[in-house]
Amino acid sequence: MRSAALLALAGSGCLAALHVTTTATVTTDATAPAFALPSQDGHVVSLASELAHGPVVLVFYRGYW
Amino acid sequence: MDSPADSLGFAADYGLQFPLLSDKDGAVSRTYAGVSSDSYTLPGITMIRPDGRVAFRQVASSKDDRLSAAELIATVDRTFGTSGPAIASTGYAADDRLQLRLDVGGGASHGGAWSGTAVGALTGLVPLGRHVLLGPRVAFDTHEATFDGLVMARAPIFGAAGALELGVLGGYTAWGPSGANVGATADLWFALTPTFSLQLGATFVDHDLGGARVPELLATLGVARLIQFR
Repeated sequence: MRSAALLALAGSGCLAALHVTTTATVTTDATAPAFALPSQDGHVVSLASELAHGPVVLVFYRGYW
Repeated sequence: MDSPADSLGFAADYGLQFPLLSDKDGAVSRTYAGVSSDSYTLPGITMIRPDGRVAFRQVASSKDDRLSAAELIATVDRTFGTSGPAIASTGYAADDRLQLRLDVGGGASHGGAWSGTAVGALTGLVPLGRHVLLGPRVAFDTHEATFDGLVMARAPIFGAAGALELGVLGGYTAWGPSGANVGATADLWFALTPTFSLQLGATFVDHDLGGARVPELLATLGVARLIQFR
């Protein structure tokens, strides 16, 4: 069974060219930093509450390029 | 940054079954994926094991770096040792939906002599697979009112977001040169969103087949509401 929870995080905008400034601090095998964010139906979803149900897949996206 | 309210409409349009989280100040995006110099989130994937440790990380710095849906599923299976069915059509694609079309335009009909005409038509179309559409069409114009059945064959273009369509129609002309009619239609259809499309078409109808024979040629531009039905 594929029971990993999928969370999508939204960041949208429109731009002509992408100038990358990666500041991410997360690395493989390190503990994922905790967070809690509002979902589309107004509920606050925390990483800990999702992990209680199994693995989590976070998908970060932007609306436009 | 999309607000939760924006995400609600987006999730409904696409039938999403998972939470869409709004990272308003970008703090989580900055930690997990990184941001561009103009403060937009970089597209990225992070997979987290139940014990809270990061199992997989990928950040895209260009469009082509992003994982496709199939690649993402394969990566989930590889990372977590899961398995499941291949990605199936959910019925949420634009070309899977019922279409309620409103087309307006003009042309000419030949009742003794050619004369100009304006037309408004309502068409309902049910998709039977990807290549056939079927449904009723009602058209009112300066000289005729027609009630027809329409069958269209379509060839998808731009993925499934557009189609070239060819159809035949037949029915009854109730006003003007009344009697049986037959016709043919062709159009270019393009889905702007999963719920709205535009179509540019040309239609020929031969009215009153058993009598005066009034041919009519029309060019139309229309919009359609695309409705999820299964």
